[in-house]
Amino acid sequence: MHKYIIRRLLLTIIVIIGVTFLTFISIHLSGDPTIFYISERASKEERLEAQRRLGFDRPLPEQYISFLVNLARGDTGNSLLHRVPAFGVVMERMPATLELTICGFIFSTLVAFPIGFAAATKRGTMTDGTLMLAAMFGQSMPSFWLGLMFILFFGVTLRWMPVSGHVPFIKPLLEGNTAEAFANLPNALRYLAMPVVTVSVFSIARNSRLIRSAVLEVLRQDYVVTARSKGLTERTVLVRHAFRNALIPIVTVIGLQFAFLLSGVIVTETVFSWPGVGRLVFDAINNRDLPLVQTAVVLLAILFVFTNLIIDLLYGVLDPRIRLE
Amino acid sequence: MKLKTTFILSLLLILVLGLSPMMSAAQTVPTPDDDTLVVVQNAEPGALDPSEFGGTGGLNFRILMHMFATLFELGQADGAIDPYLAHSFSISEDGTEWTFHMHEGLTCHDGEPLTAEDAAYSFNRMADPELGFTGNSAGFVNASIGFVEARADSELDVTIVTNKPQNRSMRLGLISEVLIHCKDSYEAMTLEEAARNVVGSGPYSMGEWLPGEYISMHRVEDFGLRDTYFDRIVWRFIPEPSTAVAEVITGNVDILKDFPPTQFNAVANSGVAEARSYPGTTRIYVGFQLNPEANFRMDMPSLGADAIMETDVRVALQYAVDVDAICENLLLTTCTRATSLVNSPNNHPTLEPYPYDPMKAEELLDAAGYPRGDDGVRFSLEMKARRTTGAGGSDVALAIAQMLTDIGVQTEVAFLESADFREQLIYHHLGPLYMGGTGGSTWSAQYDMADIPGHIAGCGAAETNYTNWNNDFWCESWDTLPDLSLDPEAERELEIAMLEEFYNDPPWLMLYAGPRVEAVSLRLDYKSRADLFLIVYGAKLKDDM
Repeated sequence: MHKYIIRRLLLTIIVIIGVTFLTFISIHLSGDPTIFYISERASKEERLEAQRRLGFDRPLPEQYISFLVNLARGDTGNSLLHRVPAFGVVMERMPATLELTICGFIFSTLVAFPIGFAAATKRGTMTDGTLMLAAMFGQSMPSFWLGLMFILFFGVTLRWMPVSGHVPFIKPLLEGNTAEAFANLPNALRYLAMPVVTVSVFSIARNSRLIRSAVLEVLRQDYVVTARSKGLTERTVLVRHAFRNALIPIVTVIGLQFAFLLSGVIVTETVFSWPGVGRLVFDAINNRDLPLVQTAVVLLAILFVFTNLIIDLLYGVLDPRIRLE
Repeated sequence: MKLKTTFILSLLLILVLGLSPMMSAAQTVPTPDDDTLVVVQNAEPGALDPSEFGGTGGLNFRILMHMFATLFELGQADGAIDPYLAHSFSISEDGTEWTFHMHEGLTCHDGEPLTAEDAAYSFNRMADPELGFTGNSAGFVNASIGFVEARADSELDVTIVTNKPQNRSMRLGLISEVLIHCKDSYEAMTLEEAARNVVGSGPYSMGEWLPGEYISMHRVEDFGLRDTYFDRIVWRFIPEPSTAVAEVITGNVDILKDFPPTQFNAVANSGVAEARSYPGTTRIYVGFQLNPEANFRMDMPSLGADAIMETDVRVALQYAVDVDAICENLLLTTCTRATSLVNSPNNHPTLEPYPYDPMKAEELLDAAGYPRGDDGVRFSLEMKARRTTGAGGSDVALAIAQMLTDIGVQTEVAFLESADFREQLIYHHLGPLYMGGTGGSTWSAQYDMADIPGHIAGCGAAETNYTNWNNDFWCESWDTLPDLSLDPEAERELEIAMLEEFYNDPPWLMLYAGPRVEAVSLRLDYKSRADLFLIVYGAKLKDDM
């Protein structure tokens, strides 16, 4: 097990090199980043001077190796846009992303499981049909449209919910201001409600369909028939026997969904003016802020790798027959 | 099991009840009240360094103009340039040195006296190549005025030394875009620190900056140079226009400048805010790329790309575009077609805009030697455009392309990603046609004319001459203008002749000054301004509120 974890962590380095290389190449393929950091009225000499100052005059391999060397030292450079260390800029947006991610993850999981189970256990009934039709709608609705509809209905027409904005909970908590964090909690939840539902709708729809098919698959297995023939209650059969065995494909998808949410939900963050990493990276890409994009990519790659690792470790917990070598 | 559930619920209840006394201290998103004015803009500034005013990374200039004062100020009234930190100025005989006489008793937000030394430092700092500033001050003002150095002649007199005389209002306006900051504080800060910390000189001081959310600022009580009314101004950053409009309609925002005209009625009918539409200063045009070495000419020569090199063809195309229809149907307002690159009130006083007359356009193209072919096409062109909304947006580009196609000039629109568009524009490769927009003023004809040529490389291929228009009369006249700066009548006469040349040999397909749409809370007494600036410190509650 330990060897497995160490091998996976070493693989992280290769992943980071891969994603940073691809990011680096794609940003440079889209043109010279210098043009964003000079005045439109700059002379040719000023352009060249800016290129030199920003380090974009060096050959691309040299630029990339220099980035990797600095990364190994823990220095990801200054954001060209913000003129402060890129790592700090990404990290100050991380708490807001975490709030949206954690709440979206919990909400979508809590809602998807009962829907998926209900649809599976009532297969072929009106309930199953209605739930799966709703799931299909949920998967088909673009989140920008859904977000704007929520704003229009709950924010503007009914005035039940705030239209946009964010009240921090995790940030004061991380700073040790527990009292402030909990004082903020009711407002934080109010501002979270619509963005969370918006990011969750797609996940609920997809996960409930997945849970349905996973549970249906398990319900066909011999051990479920055996459990029933032993005279166990349907509840025990479902919870003790079917549920746990259906979890492996579900955990894979839900785990990846968590990592996906962590990388920032650009559209939802934009619609609700949520100050998360997704919006930050989107702006950075538009401004070809290479250090900021690279920093965010490295952090997100690490998060993805760790999430995958945790999922793999969970397999062993869920099914003792699985050995990680 | 039931006992356990009851226990957990009781615990939660105790927790919530226990927290309720703390609710008053809870943080929330700022909303308007008697002491707070809330303004929205779509982008967050990257850095708040005053020398990076108007730089890459968002609209920091609107925010910074409340925290920093300038020697003179571009006033609220169109064309006005008002005294601010300086009460007057004098000009050397050769017109190259301008000395500003500052008020006594000014202070910085750090409590230190604000003197001529601080003003000189501000100019020299923004121009210091070692610091690498690229914003409006360093990248535009500096070059435009021919800045050499600034020096403090006495405690209250600062002299700006330039390498050329210049039109009075143009120079004064440009100098009014340099934010004065305090030497001691900024010398003590690294560039990183200066990007986030503001030690200002203006009517409001820096409050809180929550990245991605808002910046708040507080009224400086003893700032005596301007009347201010709200204790706090909050700048919220809302990237999605529909969300920003929803915040206006729900009364959570006081001022929103520039939102999609399609949402004009939603604001107007809200009963909470007023929707205003007025001509702006951003000049919207279709550029003819005249650079003989542009990539598209070298890589794929075409009849259309050659045709637009001819003045007669460019004039003919002016008649093909129905500006009124574009404004009424796409921008949902009326606008006046431009006759040149200069905004009202400094534009040519008598020139009539080219009328919409497609028949005449066809006649002129026939006469120029480009008759319709068997397929009805004279020649083909490609128009580059950004996929955006508004006055210079995608819809307008598509409408113009159709109007040109109607007269036999088959025009396709190619939408480019913003970065590609900018890159091709800067390197003068964008074309053969491109949908352009460039900021302008109400206070100086020459400020608007400065797009052609730029200020550094001379005429023709100058940096901001994105169409590469190389007109001998224009170029020679531009070089002559500084010498006439002490003779305003002769100067204006030459300006008018230059505008006629622009009209007769157009490098642009002239359209309009992009209309602005602004939402203003009904509780406010606030005057809108045509340019890009948004100066709200003069906003106050209406008497009856």
